[in-house]
Amino acid sequence: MSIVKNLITPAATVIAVFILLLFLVNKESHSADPNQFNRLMAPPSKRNPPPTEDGIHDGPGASMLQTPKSAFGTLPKSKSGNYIDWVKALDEKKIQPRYDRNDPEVQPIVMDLNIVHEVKGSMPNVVYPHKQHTEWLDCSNCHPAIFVPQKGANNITMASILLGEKCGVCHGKVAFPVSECRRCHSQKKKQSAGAKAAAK
Amino acid sequence: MVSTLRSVLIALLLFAAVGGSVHAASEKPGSVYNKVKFLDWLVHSSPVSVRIEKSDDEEAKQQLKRAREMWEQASEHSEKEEFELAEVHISEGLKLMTKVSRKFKDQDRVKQARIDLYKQVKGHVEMFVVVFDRIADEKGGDHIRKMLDREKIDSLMATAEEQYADGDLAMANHLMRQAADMVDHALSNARHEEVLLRELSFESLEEEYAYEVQRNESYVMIIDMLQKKKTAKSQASASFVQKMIDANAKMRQQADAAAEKGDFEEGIALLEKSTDKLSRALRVSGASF
Repeated sequence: MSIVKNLITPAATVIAVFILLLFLVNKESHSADPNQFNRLMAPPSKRNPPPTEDGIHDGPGASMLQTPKSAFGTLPKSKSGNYIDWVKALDEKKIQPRYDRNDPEVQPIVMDLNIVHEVKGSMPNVVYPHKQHTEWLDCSNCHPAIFVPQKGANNITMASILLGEKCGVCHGKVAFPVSECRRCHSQKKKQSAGAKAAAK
Repeated sequence: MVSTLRSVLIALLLFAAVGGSVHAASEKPGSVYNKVKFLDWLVHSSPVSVRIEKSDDEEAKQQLKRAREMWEQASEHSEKEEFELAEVHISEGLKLMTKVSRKFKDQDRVKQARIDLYKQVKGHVEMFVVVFDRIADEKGGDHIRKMLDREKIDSLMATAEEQYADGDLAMANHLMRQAADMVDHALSNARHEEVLLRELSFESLEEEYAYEVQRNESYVMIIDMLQKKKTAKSQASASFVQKMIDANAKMRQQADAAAEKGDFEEGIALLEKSTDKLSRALRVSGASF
């Protein structure tokens, strides 16, 4: 009888520990909704998961992809999003993405045009730089489906961006999140003569 | 006592064993197993393998058979933990499948993708030609118009349409892309290093009130998002944020009441103040201002 007891106790412990470990190993860390807005604002432990756990990649090839942690090691850092400064990475030629999948010689047609949007309140005005966007994207990625290329034709509000429309189609999903206010609200407002006098 | 010690020991050994295998799986052997699994899918159940099997192409069938043999051998080697040999067979299998899959493209899918692309690029050209004309009118100079060779664009588009109608979608796309690049270049030159200002102007107080409501609601949404992420650094910060949210809610009600009575001026003034309270809450919530 005591032999049976001696066998049962460790066996029960082993099973319990095994179940616990299986639970820990198999626990999914990725979001159920890959398009969940601002998923890039993840806490450090959940940042840049491997492709099989990021909720974006699927299919049998996902496990063969390089993990972000190994790919991002040498890239310039930023303080938000996936913690890589992609604009700087491109400027410094740390990455050289092909503009055309089939032709390594094709270069992007860069548009060096800034659009400044005035806003009310204490926030600085918004500066939209075409240059940094067209170094990476084609015009048709944004026009006309997201932005109509005509003055006054786009009602851009923070609410729409937060709901994943307009800039929010990318920002907060695959580009830096909207919690980085100053990245876009970057142009100080000119003080009116009255305000200057009051400040003195 | 003895049984407890034995239990702890077994648990530790098991932990080490499972932990070790988890660790190993994340390094080279794990990646070999994943590759074997991928090759398994590729040679047995991928769409291209199904298309090859259904075809009469004996040469392709032979290549698929060879790729399956590569998978079998890779599988056997990885089970014996001969990972380098497994890698050699995986690589060979993948090469064979890549080569044979080029011959067995999903033609319907390729055709539809080309049609979709053609329509998209054509729309792009048509839209940006209009934009270019607007810029030329706005700047009022022939020097701008000269930046775009309209005759060439029209000719490229007409030829592309002919090719499209004849079913040569690859050529039609190539020509339409050329036209698109010409327009993009012209626009890029016409707007080079410019800054366009989108001024904030309202046609009525009601319109300005609507803008203020949107601004206020945006702030509420951002604070709500940050609250869910619990970004406030301390209890004191969290209660300050809540105080500002409550104050905003009260003022928002007053603003709405004023607007309902048609006093948009009062409504705007109240919303400006209440949104200001929210911006203070945002700073405390951790948004990077």
